[in-house]
Amino acid sequence: MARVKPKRQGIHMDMTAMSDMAWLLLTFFILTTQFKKPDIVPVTTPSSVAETKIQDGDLIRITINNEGKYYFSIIDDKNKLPVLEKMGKKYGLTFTDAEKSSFLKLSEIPVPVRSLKQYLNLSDGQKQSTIPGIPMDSTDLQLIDWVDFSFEHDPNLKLAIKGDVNTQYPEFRDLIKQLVERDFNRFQLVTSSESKPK
Amino acid sequence: MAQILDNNGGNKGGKVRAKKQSTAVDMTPLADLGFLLITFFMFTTTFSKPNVMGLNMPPKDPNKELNQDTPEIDLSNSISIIIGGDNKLYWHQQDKTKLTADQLYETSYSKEGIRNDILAARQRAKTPDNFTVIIKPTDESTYENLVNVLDEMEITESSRYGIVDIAPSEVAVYEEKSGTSSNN
Repeated sequence: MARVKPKRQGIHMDMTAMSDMAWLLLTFFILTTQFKKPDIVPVTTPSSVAETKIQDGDLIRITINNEGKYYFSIIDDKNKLPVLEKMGKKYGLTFTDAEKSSFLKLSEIPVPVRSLKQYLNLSDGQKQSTIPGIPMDSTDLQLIDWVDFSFEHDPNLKLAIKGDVNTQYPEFRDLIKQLVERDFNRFQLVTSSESKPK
Repeated sequence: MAQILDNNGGNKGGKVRAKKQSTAVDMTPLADLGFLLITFFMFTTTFSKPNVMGLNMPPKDPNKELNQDTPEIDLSNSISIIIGGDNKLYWHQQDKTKLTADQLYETSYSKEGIRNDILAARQRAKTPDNFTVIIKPTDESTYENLVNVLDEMEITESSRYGIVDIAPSEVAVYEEKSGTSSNN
């Protein structure tokens, strides 16, 4: 009679619970991650020891790139359209629904308001190549108008300024000067993090 | 990948009892994959959020012209930092009209540079509680330079500081100084 050889049995652990937990956590992280909309202008922010994390919600942001061009972003989608409408009213522009939905997808407003309508109708590929910036000089303070209307819509907004490492100081100074002129005195400078030396 | 445990091994001879087939699937690869993805998402979420540095500017002053020529501040209680071009940094503790190139000291952004100068100046101050840092960026400086100096304010815990436009007399001294220092 053949003997039944005891089959070698490996140590078996029930992985079900572990995998359940892993996938649960994974679901959580996927749902909480907010994917960044692609940046229109590449900006390298300087690093600082500041420890406050940026609050995405009630935020508007002015970006200055290394060529000293200004861009404006409204971070919260719910604020975008009312501000666009106010801006359109001032400059005598109306936007179609298609243009509005295209506007919602923009992470940054990269063109003067008069060419915004045209810009919103461009295809995604063309959008990358046309980024003239928003004018901000003594004759045309559109950038400040954007800020003004955003605060008019929601006074609790915070104003962040994101500058490039190579932005020249006068560009920054002019911006601050114009903002202070309209009584915006509190800014948040966006920086990347760096550990605090002891 | 998942393997079903093979439990009906020895069926040569003897009574073959219909063994109940176990349906246990090996969950190890599933758990592996789950944790791998978790790690990925954790890293991408935590590091993508930039920091912010608060900056408050003084509100515009309607009486600015009147207040301009009243420097009641004791010179030892303040230090002026002039941010030059080419990542150069200077400081002085003089009145801006009486500044000469000898009294404008060059320093650097390094740990031993401006940080020590600020701390030393604070030690020398008559009333350290009122010690004020005046930041004067020149037109050649970059935004990064400014942020670095603001960062030093945070590190040296200087709570009183201000960003001020550089005076023409200081620009002249700065140009003289930076001109001479580049010749050396």
